[in-house]
This record gives sequence, C-alpha cells and structure tokens, in this order.
Amino acid sequence: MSENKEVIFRIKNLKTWFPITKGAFKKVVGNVKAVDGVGLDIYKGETLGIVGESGCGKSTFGKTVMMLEKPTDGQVEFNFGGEFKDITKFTKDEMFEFRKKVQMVFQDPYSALNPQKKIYTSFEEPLKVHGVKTEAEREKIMQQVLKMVNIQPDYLMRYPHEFSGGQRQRLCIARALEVMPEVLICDEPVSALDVSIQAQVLNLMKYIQRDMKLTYLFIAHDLSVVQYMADRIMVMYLGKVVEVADSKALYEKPMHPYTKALLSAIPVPDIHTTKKRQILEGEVPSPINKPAGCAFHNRCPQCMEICKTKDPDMIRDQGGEHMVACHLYSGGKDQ
Amino acid sequence: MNNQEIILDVKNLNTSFISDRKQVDIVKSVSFQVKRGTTLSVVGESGCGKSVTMNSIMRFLGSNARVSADNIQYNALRDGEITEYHLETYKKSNGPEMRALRGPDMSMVFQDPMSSLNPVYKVGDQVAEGLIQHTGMGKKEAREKVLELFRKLGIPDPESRIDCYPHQFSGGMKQRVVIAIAMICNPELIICDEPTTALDVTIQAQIMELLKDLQVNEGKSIVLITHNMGLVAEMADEVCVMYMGRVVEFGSLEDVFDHTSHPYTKALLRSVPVLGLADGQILETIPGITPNPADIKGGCDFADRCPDCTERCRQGVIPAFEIAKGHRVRCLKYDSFPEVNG
Repeated sequence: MSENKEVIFRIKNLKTWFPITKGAFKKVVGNVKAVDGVGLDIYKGETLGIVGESGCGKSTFGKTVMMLEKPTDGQVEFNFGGEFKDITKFTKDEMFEFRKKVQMVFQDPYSALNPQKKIYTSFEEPLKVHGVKTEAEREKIMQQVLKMVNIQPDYLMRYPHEFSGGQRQRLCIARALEVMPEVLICDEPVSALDVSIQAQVLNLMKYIQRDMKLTYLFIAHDLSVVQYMADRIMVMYLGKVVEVADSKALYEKPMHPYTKALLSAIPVPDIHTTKKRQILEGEVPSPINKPAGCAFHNRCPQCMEICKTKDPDMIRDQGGEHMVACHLYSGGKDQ
Repeated sequence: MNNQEIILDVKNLNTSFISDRKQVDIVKSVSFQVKRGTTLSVVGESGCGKSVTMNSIMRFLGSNARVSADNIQYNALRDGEITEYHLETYKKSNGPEMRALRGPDMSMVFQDPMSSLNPVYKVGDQVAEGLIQHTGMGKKEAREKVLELFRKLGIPDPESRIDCYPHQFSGGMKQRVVIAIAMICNPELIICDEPTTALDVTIQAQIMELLKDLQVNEGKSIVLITHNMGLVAEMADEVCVMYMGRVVEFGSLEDVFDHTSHPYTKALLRSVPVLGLADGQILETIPGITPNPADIKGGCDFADRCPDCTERCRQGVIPAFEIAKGHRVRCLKYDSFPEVNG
C-alpha cells in the first residue's frame, strides 16, 4: 500500500446497539449488539475489505461510519484536510460537508434507483443539493461520471428499468462519484450480480479507485471477492473484529480459528486442489445473548478454558499490521 | 448405456412461455442424462434456463408454460427391477401419475428455505405430510420416521424441534428441514435448485457435506443447479453448462474443468475471483450482457460476447459436437468432430 500512510478515519471503540423494548413504556429489556467495540484506523487510498457471515454487523458498521446509524458509544474521527473531527458530534451543517467526502453504494441496484424518475433526475439531485448552481455545470459533471463507468451519456434520459443489473450498479457508483468523494463505502456491491457481470463491476471499481485516489470500505460476504479487491481485510464475528491483516497475509497465514474456518469453507473452482475441509459446527449465536468470553468459543475447534470466561483483547504481531483477537496468541507468545 | 445405469434421460426438451401473446423460448432442445448414484451439476448465469429445465421435468411450471420433449424417461430401480416412466406422455402436470412420482421417486429442494416452508404449520407436520400422503402411514408412525430423519440430517434436539414453527429455525436449519421434506419418502433422484445460495459459506459447507453424504452412503442421484463454479468442482461427477436455454457444454468434471472447450465456459471459469490471485492481477471479464430471450437472433447466442466469433457463428442453429467420449460442445470451432444430438 501507499508508503506514507495517512489516516482518513480513526475509529475508536465504536458500538452500535439496537435496543429491544417491551411493554407500553418501552422498557429496554436487551440490546442487539450489532457493532460491539470496533477500533481501527483506515488509511487514505486503501481498500479495506470487511467480511463476515450475515448478522455479524458488517453492514451496520458501514452505515455507522457514514452516520446513517447513530452509534451508541465510541468515536469516529474523520480527517478533514489534516484535522481530525469526531463525526458523531457533528451538527447538521458539518454533516452536510462530511457527506460530500463520504458516499455509499448499496447492495441492491434494483431498489437504489427511483423507478419513476429518469436517470437524469436521480443524478441531478445530489448536485443541486450540494450547490452546483447552473444546469450546464451539472450536466458536465454528469457526463463526466457516466464516462467513468462506461455508460453512454445519452442514456441519462432513460428510466432505471431499461438497464441491466450490472449497468444499474454502475449507475449507482456513478451517482456516488458525482460529488467527488474521498471515501466510498460499498455495501455488498456485487452480490446481486452474475459472475460475468460481477467481474466487470469489480474491475471498473479498481480503475476508478486508481484514477480518483479513492478510499474504499468494501463490505462483502464473499471472501474471494474481498481478497481480490482489498489491501487490508477486517474479519468480523458477532459485532467484534476478530482479525485484521494485509489481504495477502490473511490468505496465506490466517491466525484466528474463525478466519481459518471461513477460508476453508470457500469452494474452490479447481478440481486438483485437495483441500482439507474444516467444517464449523453449529451456527452464529444470537447477538442478543452473546456467549460469555470469546463470542466464537462454542464453535471453535481450539477452544480453551479461558475462552469461555474472558473476552480476548486485540493482539498485534511484530509488524503491528496483523491484528488478531484470540487467546491462542496471548500469553506472551510472539507469532 | 442401459436403464440400470441411467436414472433420468431427457431428449430434446423445449420449454416456452406465452407472454403478451408472444411465445418466448426459454429452454431449447436440451438433452442430458443423469447416471444412477452420481451428481450432475447444471451451471449457468441467472436466466439461462437451468431452473426452468428442472421445473419442466418435475412439471412445476405455471399455466403459461408450454413443455414439449421427445423423451423424458425416469428409470426407477425397485428391488433390482427397472420400471420405466415416460414423463412426457403425462398430459396433466398435477395428474395422479406425476403426483405418484414426486416424493417417493424424485423430489426437489428449492433455493430459498425462508419461503419454501409454510409459516403457519409446524415443521414436523410439513415433513410428515408427504409420508402420510404416499404411504398411508399413521401420524404416530410418521412422526417417528421424521424424528429419525431429523437425527440423520443433523438437526439438534429433534424431539423438541419437531414441534417448532419455521420462524424459530435459522436459515441453515430451515434448509435441512426442506431437505428432510425432499428425503422423507426416500426418493432416488433429488434435484437441488441452488440449495445454498441464500446461506452463508460456513453453513453452505455443512449442507454440501450433508448432500455428499447422502449420495455416497445411500447411492442417491443428485442434480445440483448452481452458479457457483467452486461448488461444481467439489460436488459434481458430470457438468452441464447452459447459456440462453441451450446446453453449450456437457461432460465429466475433468472434461469441463481440464479440457474446457466452449468459449463461454472458459470465460465463466476465468471471471470467478479465486483466493490467492497474484497482486495486481486483473480479472477477465465477459464483455456485454446476456441478451433478452425475447429477441434472439439466429446463430450462436454467445456470438456477440465471444472472442472467437466468426461470420459462420451468426447463422442457423449451431449443433453440438462430440469432441471426446461423452464430452459435447456446442461451438463451430469443433466442427471437425462428429455432430451429436443435445
């Protein structure tokens, strides 16, 4: 990755809990701990991949970083030209400025575009809102972003139903790019697409990143897609980060038992690799009643006594880039 | 090959739908055979007709569907004797002949376990229904059978789970219940239509292990519809690649993965991101999009996206050629080989 690592997001102990209420007085009886204490720096220009099974809180994490979901606790500091500001305490005006810098691409391109509006109208709106006054200027920007995603500019007068899934996702990406953001949060951008179309969109996203020097937060459940896109990968399990590593290191030397299991569960389209499958027993526990200790302990093949009582802390290896939350690596051992 | 070895023999299956008074051909002259005790994988992108093909065989299609075939033959093996059933001769899709076959002989596992169970019935009753229908078994006895099957399929604590409703189950457990419904009458042929697409990878691995188990230990024949090339490599004995309603390549797993011949199959295999790609390596893409089945021109359906397309590819119907025993490819590049049906 880039040599001078400038931090763009500094996330500290981020928690997003959804309260469960009961009765007429809406008494809080519990919390769905969707994101439960995530701390991490995101560097400028990198692609941070976020993987995990459904319900592990990866989408909620993306939404919280974008402030579409209000965090329960913790800080998200964003680098405004060298100055870090905590976006959780932003006023409406500050938030407006922040939104220009950080944009989001959603999972389902079929529901992300208003079917009753022409693409032109959908594309014009963010520009109007963000103060591009003249129509000529707006149109110039629209043409520009459409060119970036390889869609003919005269398609602007069409309706969303006239486009295929892949084209729609490219339109969604183009719309996010209109305000010239620095960060793009992509929540499962290719999981609704076919494999042949998926590759088109992934490559396009890579080219755009190179041209615009974007930072990507790339959320997906498909580890092979994330590994293709990301420089660093963060693995989540039940709202917590279990491992963060360089994408190559994570693939070659996974440390956390969950990451190992996740990697071995991926079917490989090659009939000559004889891979020893490690199949996880059971399912992800409910995020309401998390097991005590390490959240993974009841499925972990290497579970120890301490795992059942004590939540493991994040441990860094020597380089400081490979982080893992597992008792196997604590106790002074240097991995 | 004789009827002992072949469990399902489909010849020249065509399915079209009537929409806006227009006939749209979705499945076009599809032929394939499923060998007894093996897994056939049908792969292709969405809209290629893989599900419609299987639904045509099972007769699960709506009233606007027109199915025709030269032969859809199911060979049942009971106590060492073969009974032939010619499914194409049955007039009614819900007639007694079809209903007798569905369940005890061939059954289907659907894609979405969330919507293929009835939310207002207990799962145990839903599983037992087929058994009671087909064998006239009493409720108590059926319940025992269901418990036994739940145990075999790895549903924990079956005695209490049998009286639960679908919403009390997780996705992976629901899919096990759906598999139980398909398995309860002990069919020989199980058609699985994207059984794990809605599930997480770790759960997918569990379900696939279960299916593999059923095939190896109980000699079931499985048709696995999927778009995941990884699953194909792990599960299949034979592979059938479909594009725009036609079989473009058919062969054994080794044929299709090691001697990949059709340009579409090649492109499909190369466009899948795999773990451990080298740094800076760019995925190959298939240019263009799948055409709309309602406005198909003549010639090869893949012509517009194919790197090896020639003038000849754009005319007439492209036949299939047998480039090795049992390995057929629908591409004019191989026209020096003998032409075959399919």
